[in-house]
This record gives sequence, C-alpha cells and structure tokens, in this order.
Amino acid sequence: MASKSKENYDLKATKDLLSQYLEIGQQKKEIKFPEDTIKIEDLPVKNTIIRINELVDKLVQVIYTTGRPSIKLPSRSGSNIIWDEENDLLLLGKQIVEKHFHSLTSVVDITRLMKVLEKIYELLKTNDYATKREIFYTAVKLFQDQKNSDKNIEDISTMLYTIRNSTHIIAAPRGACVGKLRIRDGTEIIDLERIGSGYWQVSTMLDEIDIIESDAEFILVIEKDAAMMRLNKHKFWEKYPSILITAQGVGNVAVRMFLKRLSKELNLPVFSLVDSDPYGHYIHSVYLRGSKRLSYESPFLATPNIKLLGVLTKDLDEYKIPQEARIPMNSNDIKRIKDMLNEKFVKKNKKWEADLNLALKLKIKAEIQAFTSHGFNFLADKYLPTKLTTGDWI
Amino acid sequence: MRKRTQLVGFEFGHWKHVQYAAEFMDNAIDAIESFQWEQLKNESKTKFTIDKDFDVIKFGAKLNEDLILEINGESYKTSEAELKTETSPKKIMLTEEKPTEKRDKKKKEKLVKNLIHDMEKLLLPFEHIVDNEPIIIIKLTESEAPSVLTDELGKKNIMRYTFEIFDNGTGMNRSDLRKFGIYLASSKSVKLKQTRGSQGFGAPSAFSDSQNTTGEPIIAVSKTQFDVYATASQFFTTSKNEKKYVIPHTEIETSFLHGTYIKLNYLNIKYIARYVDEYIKKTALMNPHVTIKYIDPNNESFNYSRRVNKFPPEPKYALPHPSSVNIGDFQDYITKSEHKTISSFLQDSFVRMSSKIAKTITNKAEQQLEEKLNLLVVDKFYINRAPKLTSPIHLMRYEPRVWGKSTKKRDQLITYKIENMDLKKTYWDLIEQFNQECKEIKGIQKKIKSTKNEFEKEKITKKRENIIRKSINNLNNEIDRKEKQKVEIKKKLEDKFENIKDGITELKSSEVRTKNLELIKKVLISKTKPAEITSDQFNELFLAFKSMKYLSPPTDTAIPISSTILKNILIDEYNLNVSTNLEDIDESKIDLQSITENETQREINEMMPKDFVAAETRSPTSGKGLAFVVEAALAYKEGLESPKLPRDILLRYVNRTSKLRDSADCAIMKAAQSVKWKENYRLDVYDNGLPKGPLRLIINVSGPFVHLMFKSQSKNALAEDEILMTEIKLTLQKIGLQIKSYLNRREKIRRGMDREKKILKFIPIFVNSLYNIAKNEDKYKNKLKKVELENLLRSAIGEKPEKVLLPEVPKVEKPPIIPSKIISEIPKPAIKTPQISPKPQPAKIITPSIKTKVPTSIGKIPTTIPKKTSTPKKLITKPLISKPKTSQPIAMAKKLGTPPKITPIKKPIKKTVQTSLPVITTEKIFSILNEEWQSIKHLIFRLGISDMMDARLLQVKLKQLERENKVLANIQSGKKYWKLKK
Repeated sequence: MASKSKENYDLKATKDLLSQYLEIGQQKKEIKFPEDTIKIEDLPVKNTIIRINELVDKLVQVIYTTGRPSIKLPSRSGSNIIWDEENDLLLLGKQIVEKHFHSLTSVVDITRLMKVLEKIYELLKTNDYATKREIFYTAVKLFQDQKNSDKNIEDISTMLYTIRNSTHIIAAPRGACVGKLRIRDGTEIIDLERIGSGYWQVSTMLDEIDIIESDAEFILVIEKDAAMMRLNKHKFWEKYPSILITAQGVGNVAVRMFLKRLSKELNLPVFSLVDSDPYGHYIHSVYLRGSKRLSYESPFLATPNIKLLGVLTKDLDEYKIPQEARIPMNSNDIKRIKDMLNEKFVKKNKKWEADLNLALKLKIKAEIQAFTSHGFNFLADKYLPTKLTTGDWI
Repeated sequence: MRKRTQLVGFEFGHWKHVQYAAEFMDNAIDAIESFQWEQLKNESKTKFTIDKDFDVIKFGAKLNEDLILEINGESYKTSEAELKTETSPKKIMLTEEKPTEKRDKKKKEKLVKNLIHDMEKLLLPFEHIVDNEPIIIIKLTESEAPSVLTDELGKKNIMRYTFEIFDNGTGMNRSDLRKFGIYLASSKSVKLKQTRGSQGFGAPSAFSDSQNTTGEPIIAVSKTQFDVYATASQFFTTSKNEKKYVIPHTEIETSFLHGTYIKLNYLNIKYIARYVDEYIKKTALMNPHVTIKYIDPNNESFNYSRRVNKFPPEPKYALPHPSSVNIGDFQDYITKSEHKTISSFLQDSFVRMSSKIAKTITNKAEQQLEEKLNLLVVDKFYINRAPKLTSPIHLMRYEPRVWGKSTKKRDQLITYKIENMDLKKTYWDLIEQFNQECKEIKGIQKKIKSTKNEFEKEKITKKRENIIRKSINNLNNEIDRKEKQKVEIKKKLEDKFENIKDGITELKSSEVRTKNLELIKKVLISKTKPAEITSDQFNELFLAFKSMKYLSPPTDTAIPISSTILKNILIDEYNLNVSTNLEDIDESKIDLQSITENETQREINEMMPKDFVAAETRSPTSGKGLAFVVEAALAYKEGLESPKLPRDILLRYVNRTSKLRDSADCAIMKAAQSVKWKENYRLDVYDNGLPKGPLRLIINVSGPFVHLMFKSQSKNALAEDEILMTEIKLTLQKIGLQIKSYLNRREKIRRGMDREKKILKFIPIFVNSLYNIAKNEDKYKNKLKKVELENLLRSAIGEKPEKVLLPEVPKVEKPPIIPSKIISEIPKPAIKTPQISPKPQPAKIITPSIKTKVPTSIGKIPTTIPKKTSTPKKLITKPLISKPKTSQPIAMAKKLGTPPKITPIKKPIKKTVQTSLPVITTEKIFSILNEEWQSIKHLIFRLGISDMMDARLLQVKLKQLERENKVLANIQSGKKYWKLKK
C-alpha cells in the first residue's frame, strides 16, 4: 500500500490494547498470600531509614543480652522466591540465612555488611547517592574486592526487603528518553516534549523522579540509538503520541527500571523495536524477563507485557527488504537462537517460536537500518504505523 | 667365683673419666642403700633421717670459698704437690740417703695428716649433716702430668687427674678393707640381688689402671658405725693380688660416723665437659634419694639435692632361677656346694625348686645313667643290662657277710652270675622289651627334634603352629607312657628276681666287687654328694635339670621406681608446670575485660594446657628366668631444648644407672624405635624412629640382672629379649595414649585461640559501624558507648551457642488469586488523557479473611504472616546474661604429693633418749677433761658411754667446743687429742 501522501494510521490495535489495560488496571483483586511470606517493595527514603533503625535496634538488644549478634537474611534461592507475574508481586519465603558474628566463617561477612549498612544509612540521611564502586572504596581493606561489596549491597537490600535502588546505591545513568511525558525530578519539572533535538538521559535516582502526566498511548523501546534519532527528528512521538526510550544497546538497569515504572504507572502498552537478529531478540527478552543475574530483582526491572514489534523475520519478506541488506548468520547467532528456543518464555509464545524457527531456517539477519533501502522515512512513516495498526507483534 | 680380671676398655679417652666415676659411684650408692636398709630393718637410730627436704645449694656456697684449714698453726695446701714429690726420683734418692725411722714416722704422719686434711676439706660443708643425709661427693682435679710419665706415651694433652669420692654408706671395717681392691666385696657375688653391678671392670681394674698410668698408690679410708676410729691406708695392688702398703692400716679420727673415702690418680686426655657431668647428672636424676655433689677440674660445682623423702624399698634376695643358669654356673654351684644330697642342693640353690621337682630331676638323671652304664637299679638289687645274649648276667645285692677280721656281719655287695636257663630266659624276655622301649623312645625323640626344626624353618600360620605343638605334645605323652612301661618292666624284674637263691653263682673276686661298687656309685646319683659328682652324672643331671618346666621366678626381686616418684623427678628437673587436675584446663577462664594487645600472649599461655608428664610402671614379669620390671616416663614442655643428638631424647637406665653408650644395640632403644609415634600418637619422629619435639623420654629397667641380660661385658646395652621388648613397647604405648590426648587438647585450644584472634580483629570495625547508625536514634542518644559494646562482644567469645531448633520452613507457593467482584466500576477510558494521580501509592492489598495478616504499617520491617495453627514457639532461648568471668586460673601446685619445704635446721644436735640422765653435757665434759691430752677413746671410757650414738654426740660436742675455743685439740698420727684450755 504505497501512497505518497501520508496515510492516516489510526493505530487501532494499539488503542484497543490500551483500553484493555485500563480496564484490567481498574479491577481490584483479592490476593491470598501464602503463609510466612514477605513482599519485596520499593521504599521511599524515610521508610528505608526506619527499617534500618529497627534492624540496628535489634542488634544492639542482642548484644546487650547475649553478646552474640547475628544478621538474618532471607534466602534468595529459588525455593524461597516467588514472583507472581500477573499480580506483579515478589514474595520471599521464610528461609533465612543467618550470619553470626562469633563464627569464624561469617565474621568477615557480617562486618562488611555492617559497614555497607553504615554507608547506606549515611547516604539516606544526606539524601545522597553512590555507585557500587564508591562503596567499595570506602573500606578497601575490609572489602578486598569489589565483588564482596557488591554482594553485600545485594544482601542488604534483601535484608530490608527492598530493592537496591532504595538503598541509594545506583548505577550510572544511561539511556535516553523522549516523548509525551512530564516528570518532576527533584524540584525541577521536565517536559520531555520540549527537550529539543536531544534527549533526556534516564536518571537512576528514581525516587527523586515523579511522573506527573503523560499523553502517550504507547511506549516504544528502541534498540539502536540511530533509529531513535531518526524517529525523534521525525517527531514520531508527536504524530503518534508515545514515549520513546532507548538503552543504546542491551537494556541497562536504569532504563529497565524507568521503563518498568512508566509501564506500571501509566499502564501503557510497551513495544520493542530491535534488529532482526538473535541478539535483538535477546535484548527484547531482557526487557521482558530481566537478566539472569539479577533475577531476584526482576519484578522491578522487567516489563512482562512488552511486545516485540519488530523487526521480525517475517517482516523481512513482507516489507521486501532487499537481499543485499540481509546478512547471513554466523555460528554464534545460531547458537543464540537455539538457546532462546529452549527458554520457557519463548516456548510459551508460539508466535515467537515460529519466528525464531523461521530465522533459524533462513539463516539471515537484518538491522533496523535496512529499511532505509526503502527510504529514510520508511521506518517512521510506513513500517511502524502499519505494524501498530495491524497489531502485528509478538 | 666370678673372676674380676676383665680389664675392659681402659683406653685413654673421654670415656675413661666416666668409667671411673661410674664404677665408684655405683658402689657408693649401693653402700648407702645397704646401710639404710640394714638400719631400717633393725630400727636403729643411726639411720638417715630424710623426712625433711634438703637443699645442697645452701651448703655448696661454703665450698667455693678457698678455705685453708689451720691445724696446729701450720697451714697445709692440697697434698698434690707433696705426693708428687714423693714419686719424683730425685726426692726418693734424698730420702734414701738418710733412712732413719724417725724420719719415716714423721713422713708417715705427714702423709696421714695430708690425707685427713684433704678428706676433711671435702667434707667440710656437710659436716653437720653427714650423719643424717645420704651424701656422695666426687671431686676431680687436674694437674700437670710429670714428664716421666707422658714422654713415652707420645700423646698430647695427657693430664693427671686425682679422683676422690666420699660416701656415707655402710663403710668397711678393718678386715673388709684389707680385701678391698683385691676383689670387690659386692653384695652380688653371693646371691642375686638387684644392685647396680659393676661397669664391667670392677674396682681392682681401676686400681691397676691408676697404678699403671701414674705409678701412685691408692688411698682408702673407711669406717663402719660400730668403730670408733676409721681405718686409713695407702697401698699398691700387686700382680700377686696382694697389697703393698705405703701407709698401713692406721686408725684416724674422722668427722663422719660411717662411710668410705677413696682417692686415686690416673692419667687421661684432657677433661672436657659433658661426659662425666652428664653421667652424674643422669644418675642423680634416677637416684633422688641421695645427694650428689660433683666438683670438676674447672672447680665448677654440680649439686644435686635429694628430692624424695623415702628410700626405695629393699629388693629381696633371690636364688637363681633354673632357666637363667648356664652349664658353667651350674658347675660352679655344684662343686662348691656343701650339701649331702643332690636333691637338697637343688632345692637350696634355686628358686621355684620344690622337693618333688628335685626328686624328678634326680630320678630322670638316674634313669639315663642306668641306660648309659647298663646297670638297672631295681628296688633291692642291681642287675646289669647285658648287651648280647652271650654276655653274662650279673645280679648284685647287699647281703650281710662277715669280712676280714671282724666277727659281725656287715652289708656287703655280692655279685651273682645267673646260670639258670629259665631265669635267663625270663631275663632276656624282659630285657628285650626294655630295650625295645628304649629304642622307641629314642625314635620319638628324633621325631620331636625334626618337628621342632620345622618350626623354625619358614613362616607358618598359627594353625600350623598349633598343629605342630599338639603333635609334639602327643609325642611327649608317648614318651611318658613308654617310660612308665619301663618302670613296669623293672617291677616285673623285681618280682621275678627278688630273693632268688637258686640258679645263681656267686662271684667272689674282689676285682669284680670293686668294679661293681664303682659302677653302682656312678649310677646312683641320688646318693652322691654334689661335690663328688662325676662328669657323666653331671651331664645327665644338667640335662634333666634343664628339661623340666618351672614356674616363673618370683617378681618381688625387681623393685621399680614408682610412677609418682618418676613424675616428681621430671617435674623438678625440667621445671614443668603441670596442673593437678588435667580436666581443669577447659574451665580456666580469664578476665577478658582487661586485655590489651600486649597481653594476648600471656592470655594464650594461661589458657593453653600446661606442660605434660606421664609415667607408667608395669608389673614385674620375668624372662629367661630373671624377673624384671619396666617403667617409663615422658615429659613434654614447650620450649624445651632439643638435644644435639637425636638419641639423647631417650634416657636409658638399667637399675637406675644411666647407660650412655652402645645405644644403637640396646633393646631399650630398639623397643622405643619400634613404637609408631607418628601414626598413633601425633608426635613427630626423627629418622631413627625416636619421637621428636620438646620432650624427654626416660625408660628404666630394673631387676636382679646378671650378665645374661646384657649384651656385652661393658654392660651398656640390654640383650634383645622378646618379653623385654614387648614390655617396653606396651609401657610406651600407654604413655603415648596420654600424650596424644594432651596434644589434641592443645590443638583444640590453639584453634580456638586463632579463631578468637580473628574475631577480635573485627570487633572494633563492627561496633564502629553499628554505633554510627545507632547513635542517631533518640533511644540511644548519649547512652551508647563503643567500648561497652566492644567488651560485650569480646566476652562472648568462647561461649558455645545453644543449639537452636529451627522450625520447618514451608515452601513458598504462589498466592492463589480469588477474583472477587469488581469493587469499583471502571470508568470509561477517555482516549485522550486519562489523568493519573500524582503520587501513586504502593499497592494496597485488601484481605478479606481474618486469618492472614498483612504488612499494614509501612516502614516497619514486615512481620511474617503467621500460620493458621499456632506456630511452634521459638526454641531460641536467650541464654542468661553472662557476666565476664573474673576468676583467676587455679593456682597449680608444682609437685605432686610432696610435703612443703622446710628450711633445714643448721645445727641438728641429736638428743638421744636415755633411760638414765644425759651424761654428755658440757659440764660433764669439762669435768672429764684435764691437763693431759686425752683421745676420744679415753673420754668414752671415762664417761661410761656404751651407746654409739652417745659417742657420736660426744664427738660433735667436742668439735663445737673446739670451735668456740673452749678446749684445745691436737692431731697426732691421725687421732685427735683433747685438753682443757686454760
């Protein structure tokens, strides 16, 4: 359907999805918690401080009675975590790992924990933020290696039944965002519509950020910076009210967290635009599921309802990407496809599976920029709107 | 008698010094012991009173002073120079020039004076206690050897040594002293007793060596408690085994009640330390009941005080046991015996010999002799065993006949020849049977021998061994049966030929008679006197003697040093710090609040288990017919220096004498090497198999030994007897178990300490972080102190946490979703701009049921959702507030079981209990003394003293008065004379 004039895509499918979400969101469900479980949640500063104080209080009491303090961490093993995707709950069971001070094996660990806790407390009190590396440098001799301090940071967030971000230990900001969104960052109000030709860099100090309002109807997560630039220049988000986010590669914690926040609060459909190659599919899966390493914090980083919009393998033929623009796969790609096919969440999704199998069969891949073979604006004018209207996503 | 001409190992060398010291010291200790035992038996008053502790160091101070006695205004230095001039040829020439009797007498007086002087100088520090304390003093002085002696030797570094030894043992009276040096009147030569025994050469050899090297005579002074004066002599021993006197037996006055003093000179290479003093040190270690003082050529004094309050018990005499006797000794005994029958000789000379066994032996011997000499002894007559059918059969019996000029009938041996064919026939029948039996017996004996050979051939399994033993037993039983048969045959002979009158002709020739008499004599061993035994008889007797089975010898002949004394010795010697109750180690806690960095070492030392000592004494057993008892002790102390040579870790003692040589050969060493120290007892091991580490191992084997138990003449190594080795090994294994548990305990505590150290390191950091957080809370503001927290944490180190039973952890399931009605209506979504509330609240979950609680309060650490049923109550019970323990470690007594030390009284003047009024008062003495010089004998007579103790008291008092300058004293020819002072 090539027409030179701008066709009006009504993005019907998207809008239907949106309405669907709104409906679901209104429903209040009863949930019966299993016994002896605790919910992990994102906490504001004040609450975190209160929890820390309680913990310390208990410790001091113990020292005065028995003199043998110990710290109890909930276990993060698979048997002790449940993540309810539908209700978006993370629950920890009662399994506890106890670290004693008066035991040769854990005395170092508990001292480190205490140290990190002290530093976190400091940060919270002064409303400051720090990176993991900086925490390491506060007591190099004690920690010996950054691995230890990182682990302790995770332990503490578990201990306080919260996510790492609440402890004000943040990752470096990365990624960009633009679109129909208004946020308050601390005391400033930032309007992402009026940012100019640049973007707003996604900040990791998320508890300073409040979402004020948004006109968008969907969120688009873009893998490549270049594509984002094109879309932004094209004011795609103006035409079709949306929010554009990119992580400039694999989704990092900042972007994923922000994305999750957006999708949760705004309750908008989320789409991802990745290259038509196994790596792209992988990136999508990271947004969808979270990385394996931080699986514990997945609920706060994963957007379970993200939809893979493009570029699907079948689109290559559908949208007539010329052969020259297609690249043959190498062995790594094939291995990756096979690994992905083994994943549970792929198996659940028949469409995705079919697409991956097709890719495996054809053994070719293509980038988003391949669309420029049809013109610079093909992506923004034709490809995306068509897909959004027809609901051609996985 | 055992000959003493074994001149073993008298070469110039370092060991020669040790040999001298060893020989005489052994005799000295023996003398002291025999004295004390004798006194204890009779409960006499002259015994050593050793109830209180004794510290020789206090007395040692005096000897270091250079005391020069003033006697009669003239000062005498040591008599070395004097004696030396005696032997130098020039001076002898001078004296020969004017040989006058007076001169001789004066010379002799001088010699005696010098002699006394030297002796008294040696004894000076101990004068007051020489009656109470068992003392041995050894002094070795070095001087230049005169060139006349050393030139021919061609060796450098030869010096002349003067060896003096004093002991206050039994001493010898005049007659004994005469024998001294010719053969040693040791208690061993008569009967076996557990005494030290000679070092292989004996005193006469020492004397010979001294004379051979220096050409100088030997001085001996001795006194028993029953003599008033001591006997002194200076003599040479000659090749004729006689003595040639320089000073004949002279009576001199001495300051000791009983004892012996010997002085001699010898040449040897230069003295270096660590030979003689090591030997004396080790001997003193094992003989804690005597005080030993040794002064070496460098004038250094080594003092070893008495450590115990009791003498060891006296071992009993033992007659030798048959299994320990060899043919030579047996010959010795039997030829010297004065018994009238062999049976009585056997019973009286050997232990475990009953009359029954003695009889069996004689019977056996007799039977063998019968067979050998072909004369059968039947009850009332004798009949010969004719070798061939044609040889004459003689029957002999005693019949009363008249002989010679006498008219009375006396029993004479009459020989008859049997002529009757019937008799002959019966005789031959029986004799053939008899011979048959004899043959068979021999055959069986051969069989037994061959099976025994098989025993020693290859390695046989135990089963096979048992089978062989059984077969040997069976064969022996058969032999017994056959012997019985022989007896039966003899009986038949008796029946048949007794009282025969016909068919026999008398042989009247005297030759035949004498021949037969002799023959009978030869056979009848039961009627022979032991001293007149023939060689045939002796051989058979010995065979029979050895073939019998005897009970093990009595074991009360071997007296060990007990374990407690061994332990005390070690504790004293190495300054061990041993707790009285080894279980107290875990409970000792220290005040942790006052610990600083510097004190951690002290803390470690206090909490560590203290040093370790273990001693084990086995019950006495016997091997090779000699009883012995093995005991061992081990001392372990951190920081104890390892000896230079690995083999010095083990101190070997045989009968309390230290054995320093031939260690590789010795059974003790081999047994100690065979124990698996590393595998079983956690001790490191040297290459030679001895345990390594800060420890000392002492093994002592006691028993009435003869040369049988020693490997060589030098008696430095024990022979490897299986029983001995097993005994030693068992003792060591028992000790090994003890030290293993001790070492384990130390390891455990050390690990605990390491753990503690590590934990202590982190306490400050932890508390710091905690404090920084907690101080901001209102609750703790200004109330919390870092130091307090730190101390609380410190004090909790070492406590064991109580066990916690965690309740079962339920597996977490997915929350079931109960979709309920939509509570609120969904507003129709405005397509344009759905307003979103500014601050989205955290998800609220409304619970319908009462059962589940919900984290309602934000901020607080959410409590867990309780179960339906009551949860099992927390079993973590908080232990009670434990205050830091402030008890000091229990003060451990050093010694085990010894009474507290009391400083010895300086002048213990004995007060004898007399029925009549005390005679010996100062007034009385003054009343007796007059203008004349009186010897002590006179005084004794005049005072009417009959008791030896009183005499002694008189002597002491006189000395005291002399010191106080109230009486005058003078020495003439060795005796002291007293006079009143004006």
